[in-house]
Formats: sequence, structure tokens, C-alpha cells
Amino acid sequence: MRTGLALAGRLRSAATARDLATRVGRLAPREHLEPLDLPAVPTRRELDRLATSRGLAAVALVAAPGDAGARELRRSLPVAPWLRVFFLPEGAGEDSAAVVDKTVRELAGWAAGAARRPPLGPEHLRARLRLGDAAVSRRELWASLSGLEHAVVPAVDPRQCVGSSRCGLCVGSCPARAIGLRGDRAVVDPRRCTGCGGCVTACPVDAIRFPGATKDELDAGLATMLSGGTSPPASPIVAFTCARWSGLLPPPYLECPLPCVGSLSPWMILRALSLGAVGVLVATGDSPCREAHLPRAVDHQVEAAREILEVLGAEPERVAVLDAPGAEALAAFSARTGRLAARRWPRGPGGPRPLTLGTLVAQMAGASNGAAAERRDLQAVPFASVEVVTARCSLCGLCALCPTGAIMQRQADEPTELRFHYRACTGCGVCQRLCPEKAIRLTRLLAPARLREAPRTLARAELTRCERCGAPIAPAPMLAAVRRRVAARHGSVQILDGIGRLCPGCRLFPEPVGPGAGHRPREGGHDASSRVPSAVDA
Amino acid sequence: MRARSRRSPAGLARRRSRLYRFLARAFAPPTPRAVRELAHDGAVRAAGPLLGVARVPALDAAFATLAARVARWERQPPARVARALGGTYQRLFVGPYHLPAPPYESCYRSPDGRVMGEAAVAVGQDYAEAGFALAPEVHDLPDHIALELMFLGLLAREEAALWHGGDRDALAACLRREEGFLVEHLGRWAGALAERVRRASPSAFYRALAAATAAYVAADLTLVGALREAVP
Repeated sequence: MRTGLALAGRLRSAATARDLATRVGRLAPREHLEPLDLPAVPTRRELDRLATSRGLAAVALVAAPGDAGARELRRSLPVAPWLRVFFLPEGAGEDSAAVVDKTVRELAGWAAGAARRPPLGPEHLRARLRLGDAAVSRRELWASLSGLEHAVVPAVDPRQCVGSSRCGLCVGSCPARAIGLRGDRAVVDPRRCTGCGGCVTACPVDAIRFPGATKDELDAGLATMLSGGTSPPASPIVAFTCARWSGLLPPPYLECPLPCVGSLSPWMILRALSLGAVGVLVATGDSPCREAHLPRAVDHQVEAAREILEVLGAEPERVAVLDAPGAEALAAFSARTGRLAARRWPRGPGGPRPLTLGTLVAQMAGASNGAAAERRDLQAVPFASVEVVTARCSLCGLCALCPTGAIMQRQADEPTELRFHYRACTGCGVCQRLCPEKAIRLTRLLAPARLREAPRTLARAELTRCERCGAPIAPAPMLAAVRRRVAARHGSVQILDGIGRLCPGCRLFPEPVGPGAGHRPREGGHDASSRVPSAVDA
Repeated sequence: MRARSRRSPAGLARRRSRLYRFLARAFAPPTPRAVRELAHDGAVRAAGPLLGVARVPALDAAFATLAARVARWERQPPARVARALGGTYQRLFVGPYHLPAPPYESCYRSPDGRVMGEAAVAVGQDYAEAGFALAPEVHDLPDHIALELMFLGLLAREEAALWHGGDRDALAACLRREEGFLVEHLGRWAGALAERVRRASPSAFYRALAAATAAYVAADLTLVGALREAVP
């Protein structure tokens, strides 16, 4: 994939696109930016044509901050995710070196992220008719479709969606009611979707793709921005901002615009800190598209990140949310986090990139070297521990439909076991909802030490086997539970006599009908491994 | 003047209609005459700007591949192209043996995957409600992909005329009908058909055709939705 860097208008700082591209190349040797010097800020359509004619998949435009055309262009970013606008201050003030360094770092981070962005498909498009910010008038509509735009919205990757395990968390998270389950997969209706990205955070398996906010591209972008080059930046603060409200923050802020701040997750905040940021600012911006639910959703995610930091022994005040902060607020926050810089977060050890919150927190807990204690009084952390009331649990295995595979059951094992992997649990509560015996106790808690532990056994039971062929029928407590229920409803359990003793094959066809036909139990019985969710082990 | 007509809603509807009819004819059995007409149609070449958005890599790539395939036909005798395509068409969509990619909606929508399910009946009703009927020379089921695409092509042509006519209620009804058909029918199974064709087709043309159709249907759904919202 090729990316382009366009420098528009006359900048007094005398930087050229080639200079900037060279510096980006030094910082991130893998990313090649093709420099283009433009006489003035182009319109989006002109940039679009330029990118198409040169075969560029993404374009960064650098302009002077006062440039009205560039500001207007930035407002259209939600409909042009391939474009990012950077502002390079005019004039060579005493801090211009820091400003240029900030721009170069952001450019390098953006290019690294853009290279890992999921391809934009038609499922990501939402057409709308607008002229500027006003809805298009009827007369204008009849004359021209120049107000027709396509905004980019999240879409579900059907190969990863776990709707078949009755997850449905994205459906409940969508304020626009744009997500529904079709068959056993979630589907986003782009006509209703407002692109807030709340579903991206809600999905426990990262099956919802929002170009510009996927973990893969953010991870690459943050890593390049924060640690690229020979000298890492001094006390950098990562700012996750609304894409329409970006390019305004001075150093040491390094901006990471999101298509919508609603897609913010604790993972993003903690990943920025673990990669070397001393603080994280979340700027929701003042865009007119801001939705009513957004501040609460963002606060919840920030609260979760703060709780995790607290448990890990770090200062929660490293993270702040501000709408559209002015110079004073920005200076106050950077001064506050600057004082914490001495206690900068130790970098995690190498190895695979921690793309789930569980692996990331485990890595950070390992790096902090502190004996982080378990905390139960938390409100927002997406971690929980599951316990089972063994007297009630029938080991029916419905809870093993867990979307993240935190609860597992292998019925083929003897005795059959229900196992729980703490690191994979997001506390979504699907297991509690599904349990017919109401035997599951879910406690929201963060225990860093348990993030490294292997799956533990919640309940165990012998399997009842077919009296004739020896095949497993069901866990003994499950058959007992069925008996109890049938007895409570019908008074007699005679109907269950055969079911409790014989496997389905032996019940219907006790003897083989002919050679090769009918029921022939294999060693250890038939269907021993069917209908068992696969164990997801780290 | 030309630029203005390219941006007018009527012009957009005309181009959409042309593209749908192109896709419909491409899903019909490949006769030499059909090959000649498709090769000189040009609708597929203009598909990118058609949506009013030029940078959707998946969509652009699908149409670029399709256009490149069709462009090759101009230099070859239509009869030979038709013969080459015919074998694949027969295997994929006609039979007599197991069809790896049946071109009927019912096969993807009914629980047992059979033809002539409820979807076929519903599609037939939609045609009738819009004032269309299958021509006497058509002997196939109403939920054939080519017929569904042709239906949308005809609806879009009707829409283009209504933008000029000024009958707002009729225009709104037409847009609702297009959107409804895309949501309830084509949008539900075009992707599944493309996936099966991708797996089973030895012909790059049919792979490109099915992929472009699925991508276009998905994009057109949101476009028609936006227009329907704008027309009260």
C-alpha cells in the first residue's frame, strides 16, 4: 500500500513535503510517504482525484493552522477516513523544533496505522445527503446530488462474530438500534448506524471492524509514534480526539484521532501508557454530531482504565477527559502528568503484541513488578470472576457458550469438567443469563495475579454412560436435574427411564438392522466429542 | 451541462438502472449476442463514480476486475467467448448435477435450501405489485439473480423518469420499493452467492461478476436509503 504526504499552501516554517517525508522515514523506516507539494489547500474531491490518479491508498495533508480550507477539510474526515489533516504552525518560534517533531511523529504513527487498516468495503458505507452541515433542501436535491456523501460506519466480520453463542452484546450496546442478529451473526444496518463506535468496544471478540479504530492499526500507530526513532519524545501525552477536532494540540500532546470518540476503550488508554506515554487525554471535541450518550459512554471507559491503573499501582490521574480543552487546561494537564513522568510506566517485555485487554494488563502487571492486590469494589473494569454453586450446577454446558471462551467444557473428558479462564472473562454476564439452574455467581474483580493463571476447574461430574454400548449420555447431575424438573411438573419420571440409561442410538435402534447400517458404537461410545465448544486456551 | 446531468438524481438513477441491467444480462446464459452486447455496453466502466464516492477499495477492485475481464472480449470472437463461458455457466448455475452456486434466492433463504421456496413466491408478488410480470419467453423462476437484478434495473429506470415528472408521492413509493426489495431480497443473498461462486467457479469472469454484484448491492442499499429519506 502506498501513502502520500501532501504539503499545502505556503508555510513560513519553510518545511517541504520532501523534508517531512524524509524525517518520517528516519523515524519509521518501514513507512514510505510519497511527498507532494501543492500550491494551495485542495478540496476533498480534488484530493480524492489526486489520490486515485497516483494510486495512493491514504493521504496526509499538512497545512497552516489558520487555513480555513484545511479546517473545512478536517470536518469531512468521517466521510474520508483515508485522509488525515495535520496543522504545522506558521513561523519559526522557539518551540518550532518540538512542533515539527510532534507532526513528524504523528505522521509516522498515522502512516503505520494506515498500513494496517482493514480494507474499506461497501458494508462500511452509509450514504447521506448533506450540504455543509445543513440537511439538503428539496430544491437543491432535485437539481444536484453534490451533497451526497458516504460516511464510514462499523461492520461485523462474520467470520469472527460469536452471535451463535447468544452473545448479542453489540445489539444491546447500540443507541441507534442499528444492529440485529441475522441467523447467528450480528449485522449492522448502515442506514441507521450513526458511526459512534460503541459496538466496537462492546464486542468481546473484536469482531466489529471500524476502519480507523481497530486495535491492530492503533497498536502499530501508537508504537511508532511513541517509541520510533533514536530519541523517544520527552513526557509525551497521547490525546485520543474526535477526528473533526484534531490538529489543535501543542507538544507534548501526540494526537491519535478516532473516527468517533465513542469507540474509545480501556485497552487504547492502557496501551498508550504501556508504550511510554506519561498521560492520556481524551478530547471529545465540540462537533455538532456529538450524541447524547457519548459523554457517559466515554466516562465509563475512562473509569475502567483508571480502576485498572489504580490496581496496578499507577496514578489514575494520568487519564483525563476534556471536551474541547483550551490552552490553560492543556497546560495544567501536561504540567500535572509531567510531574508524574519520573514514575513513567515501565515498558512491557517483548513478545506478541497484547491485542486483548487481558494480555495487556497481564503484561503491565508483570512489568510493574509490584504485588498488585486483588480489588473487588470496582464498578467499570471489564474483568470478572465466575464461581459456580456446585450443589446447583448440573454441568449442562450452556454457560460454555461464553462469547470469549472464558468458560469451557469438554464433555468427552471423564469426569466432565467446567473450567474457567479468568484472563478471557470480560464480565459480560452471558453465562449468568443462560444458566438454567441459576448456579453462576459473577463478581466484578480485577486480580492481576490471576491474569497469568491457567484455567481453573469450576465443577466436575461423572458422565452417565449407555448401559448397552457404553457411550456417554450426559453428566450425571444434568440427568438428575432433568428428573427433578419432570417430576415436579408431571409427578412421574417413568418417561425418563430409557433416556437416563440408553444413548440416543441404542434407544431407537437397539440392534443393527443390516451390515453397515444402524447404530454401531465406537470405542468409548459415539458422538463423544460433538456439541462441545472448543476450549480457548492461551 | 454534462457535469450537471452527471450529478442530478435522475442521471444517477439512469446510471444505476444501466448497471443493474448490465449485471442482469451478465447473469443470463452467455450467448454470442449477449457477449457482444456486454462487451460494448460500457456501464461497468463507469461504475466507480456512480456511487458518488470513489475510494472504496473493495468495490473499486471488484469493478476494475470485472471491467478488465469484459474489456478482453472486445478483441475476441463473441462465439468463442460464449462457448468458453457456457461450460462454467452450466456447471455453476444450470446443472443437471449438484449446483455449487444455485442462482435462486430460495436456495439461500429457505431452511432446506430448495428452489421455489417462500422467497420465490414473495419475489413474484413484488414484481406483480410493481406492475411487472415475467415475459412469456422467460421460463425460469422469479427469484433468479438475473431477474431480480433486472427488476431493480427497471425500477431505477422508472425512478429516473419520476425525478423528471415531479410526482413526489410516486417517486417516494418507487424509492421505498427499491429499498424494500434490496433489504428483503437481493441484499440478503447476493453476498452468499458471491461467496459460493468464488469457491466454485473456475472462470474469473463469474467470480468478478458475483463479487461486483454483491459489493454493489450492499453500497446501493445505503444510497437508496439516503435518497428515500430525502424525499418525503
